[in-house]
Amino acid sequence: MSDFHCWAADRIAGAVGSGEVTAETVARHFLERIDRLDDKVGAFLQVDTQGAIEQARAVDRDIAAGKPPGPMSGVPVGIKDNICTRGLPTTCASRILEGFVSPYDAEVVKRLRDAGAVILGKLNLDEFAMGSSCENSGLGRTVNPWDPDRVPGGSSGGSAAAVAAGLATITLGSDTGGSIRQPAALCGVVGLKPTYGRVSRFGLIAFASSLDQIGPFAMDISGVALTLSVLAGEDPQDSTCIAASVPDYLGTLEGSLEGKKIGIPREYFEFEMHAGISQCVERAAQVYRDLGVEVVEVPMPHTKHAIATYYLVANAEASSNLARYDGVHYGHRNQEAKELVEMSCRSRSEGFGDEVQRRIMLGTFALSSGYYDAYYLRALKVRQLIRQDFDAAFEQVDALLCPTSPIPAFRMGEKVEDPMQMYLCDIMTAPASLAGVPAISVPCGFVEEEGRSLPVGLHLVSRPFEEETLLGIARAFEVRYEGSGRMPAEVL
Amino acid sequence: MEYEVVVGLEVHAQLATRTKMFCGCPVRFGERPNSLVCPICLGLPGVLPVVNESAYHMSLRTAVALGCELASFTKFDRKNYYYPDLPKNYQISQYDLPFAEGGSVPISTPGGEKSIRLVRVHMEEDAGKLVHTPLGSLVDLNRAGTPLMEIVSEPDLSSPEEARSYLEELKRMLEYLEVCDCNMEEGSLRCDANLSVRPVGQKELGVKTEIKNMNSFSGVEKALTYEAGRQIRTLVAGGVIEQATLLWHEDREETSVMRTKEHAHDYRYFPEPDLSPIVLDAKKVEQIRGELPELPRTRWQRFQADYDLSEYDAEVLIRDRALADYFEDLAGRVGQGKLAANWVTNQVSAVLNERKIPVAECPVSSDRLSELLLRVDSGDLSKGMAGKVFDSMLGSDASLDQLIEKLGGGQISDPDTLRPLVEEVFGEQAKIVEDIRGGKDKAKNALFGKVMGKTRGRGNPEVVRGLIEELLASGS
Amino acid sequence: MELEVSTVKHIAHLSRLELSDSELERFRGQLMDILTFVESLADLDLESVQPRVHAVEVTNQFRADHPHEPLGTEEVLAGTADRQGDTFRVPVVVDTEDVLED
Ligand SMILES: [Zn+2]
Repeated sequence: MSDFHCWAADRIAGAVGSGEVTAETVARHFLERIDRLDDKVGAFLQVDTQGAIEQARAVDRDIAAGKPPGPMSGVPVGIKDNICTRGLPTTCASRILEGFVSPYDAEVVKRLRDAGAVILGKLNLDEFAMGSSCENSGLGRTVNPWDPDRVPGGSSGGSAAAVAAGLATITLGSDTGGSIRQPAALCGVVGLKPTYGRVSRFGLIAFASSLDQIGPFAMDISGVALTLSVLAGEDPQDSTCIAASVPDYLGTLEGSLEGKKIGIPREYFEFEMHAGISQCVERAAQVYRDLGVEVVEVPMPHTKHAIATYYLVANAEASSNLARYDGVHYGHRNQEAKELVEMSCRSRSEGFGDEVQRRIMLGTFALSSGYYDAYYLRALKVRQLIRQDFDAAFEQVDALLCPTSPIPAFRMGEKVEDPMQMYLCDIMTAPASLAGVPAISVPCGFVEEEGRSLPVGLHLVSRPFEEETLLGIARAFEVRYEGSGRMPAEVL
Repeated sequence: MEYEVVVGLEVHAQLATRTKMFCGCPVRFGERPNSLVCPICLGLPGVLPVVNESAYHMSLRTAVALGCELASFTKFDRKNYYYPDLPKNYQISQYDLPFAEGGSVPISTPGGEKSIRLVRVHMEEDAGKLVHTPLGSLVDLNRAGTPLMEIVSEPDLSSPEEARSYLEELKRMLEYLEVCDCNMEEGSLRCDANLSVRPVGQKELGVKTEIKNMNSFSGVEKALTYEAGRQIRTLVAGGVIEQATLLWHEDREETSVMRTKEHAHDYRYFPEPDLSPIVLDAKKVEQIRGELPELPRTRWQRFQADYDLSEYDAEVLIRDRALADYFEDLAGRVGQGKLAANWVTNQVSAVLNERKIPVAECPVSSDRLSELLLRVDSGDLSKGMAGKVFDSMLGSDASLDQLIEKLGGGQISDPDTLRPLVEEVFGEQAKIVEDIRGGKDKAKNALFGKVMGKTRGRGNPEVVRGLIEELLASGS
Repeated sequence: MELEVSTVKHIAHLSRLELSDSELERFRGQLMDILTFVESLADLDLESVQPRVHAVEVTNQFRADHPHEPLGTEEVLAGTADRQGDTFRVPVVVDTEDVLED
């Protein structure tokens, strides 16, 4: 039996592109693993066995015909189920969209297909990407491959768990306040949130439009670098996607860190934090010092306001973005209602889970007459201050370093009843989302909890559109970290 | 007590773009329901809007022509409300930073020229169409996402007549600017009104009502007349006006109350995060300014001055840009503005109205009509005869001479009637007669022409030629 | 932050959500917790701060006025629970206003 699930994406693409292995062989390997292991993990909401094999065969045919292979030829990928895929259900893990089939592909999906990637299926998430544990999914239950009693994080829990369990080489997630980075940290994989505007959002089902950004998960940095090269770049369908040149992120990974400076934002360490996590992060900082990188403290004075700001901005936008799910044109409709308003209200209350309804209410409140200035407008102003914190810090340093999550994977059900506790999972990641800057979570150690080893993520943040720098800095750590590539024993 | 009426209008004009405001669906009227819809204007999950550049430029052109102050920075906002013809359940519009503010529309009133100030002009997307039936409401999204421009006036209008003049002037401007079809029946131009009354001399405005669902210019005038009357009667009878939104019913010629008290809608406007703001491009504005057509009001004044036309005639002519162009071409060829104006406002307009066709399809081109008018101007054709000729021109491409001849109505073939005229010409043109007798045969044509002139073209050419030969031969 | 039940009801209605009395009460408590938490923003002096809507500063993004192919009526209507002919059908619209129930 082969070990394709331990191969990096570029190795698979190279082998498939050269004809050494067929895309179909690789695809079947992953489909078999999904078949065998996903009952336990629950990463996938939908596995497209037939479609994946057909795509793989098409890739093999093109290569056999001598066509130049795409950069992700035969790489098996999974897509978070809030990203539209033509012909496959796209549900946002919500009952309101159960059975919905998008008539179009998201731009990122199109780019993946064009690059030769093979789409295995759709991955679980917190409903409409609202949550930090994947427990808010209305359609599936995903566990952390390192401990099935614990959450994989969220909202892109399925994407992180699939990579951690070797069920896909690359997965796509979306990050609004930490939804890629936090589950990456909790599942011990690499997760990148690109700069806002780096990757097209066309086809990403909006949660908070000014914060949402699609990004990749992989076992290692080369995988996210390769994928970003494929995903990034201007899209005329998305006015907020920038026409900035896209470097070869994979080719520039091994650059020197000479002259680079890394900042430690003191305020991030003032939050309550698992002791083992701060030790892991401190050790990571030491790795950089040992490499000759100057590590300095930088002030980020508005950090403590980020969560409040984030929840107001994100949910205000969400309340409007989710207004379209009213049962009129598509999606779940209550059939008993005799009157329109009743029909919409019932359809929505039946279709949306608690957390989604709570956030819609919060957002509606923040925008409503009499409260707009005190809540939404105020939050937009604090957002500006938070961005200014980053701008000032990046005048001094090239990247910021902190933990991705103050806590390791928590037990299922532990935070479900207390929304505020769940929201605090984003304290490390939400500021970078508000600022729109790129950030990555890289495995940097383990903590022991109840006899289990739980992964810890290192959070690195860089200047807008300088993913190249960010990935280079992350890579320098990765090659020196002995735990890189480690997978949970149960799924090997 | 005497009351005065205070009216402000909100006009929605559909921009004459090929595609919708935020997606590439074609904008067309009267197609199969839901056939001009894509994921974007259907509001499917995951879609994003992108601004139609033509819609923005047309809006700019309008604002420049209206003399608005253009915002150096403008943005789109979401207006949140639930309605089944609004697929996203929010409308992309502009709230606190419209792209244009101020400006004015000049109108004529019995008391002279008046300038109606504008509050603002902004861009937004249209909703779809909803038809109510006993078994439910039916939604067609073909119109959803059509680009609209909303033009809001100050309450500067003092009567229903002024409101109508304002609308007519605005319509003409939009047509001249080629930014809107202005077809009220098809809904490409729509209008809501705010109306209040107050005792003459009182400064504060009275309580206003909003009137919707007026689908024609005359409907606007009638609805406002009706509502002004109702408000005044209410006040005179000691009643109070309640803030309300009213629906105008064209068939019954009365309003009904749509909602009684001004319910404060909570639209929860906020900046549209999916669209980037627009920064004004000064160069583009200069280009637009340079390319502005002559506006109807200017043309109206120029027609009066240049062609010595009455206000009324000039007004009739400029109402339609193409008709005004036709007139100007005709007047240039004929050199007689008044004569040209008469013909265009009477005969030509009658044909267009009767056949319900645009000027471009008029069977008699300005070029052809000018030939006819030149004959009228020179006295070669009587007015009555010219009218008949014009009528026959409508159904025939034959030359003017052929048509005149064919009409025969004027042809004089009696030698006894014609002989005195020929003799007269012989007397007047002794030199030509001498030339002919000296052997210049060709000069006969000149004589012939003169005689025909005297008959206003009605002389039977053969008889005339025969008489000329006869007289030449007689030597007298 | 204290929230009246009537306010929560109003917000639920604006949000087009139908909540039972117990749900209303539960959401009221949770929303109050969240609103109390976000009140920390009130301590900041924001007088001279410009609100930030977008993460990136990009302006003047347009598309050319070129038509694309629409979906086609059947595909447009494919997802709806009720149609009549070529139109979407919804229950009758009784009142379009966001009127408070109480
Ligand atoms: Zn469309």
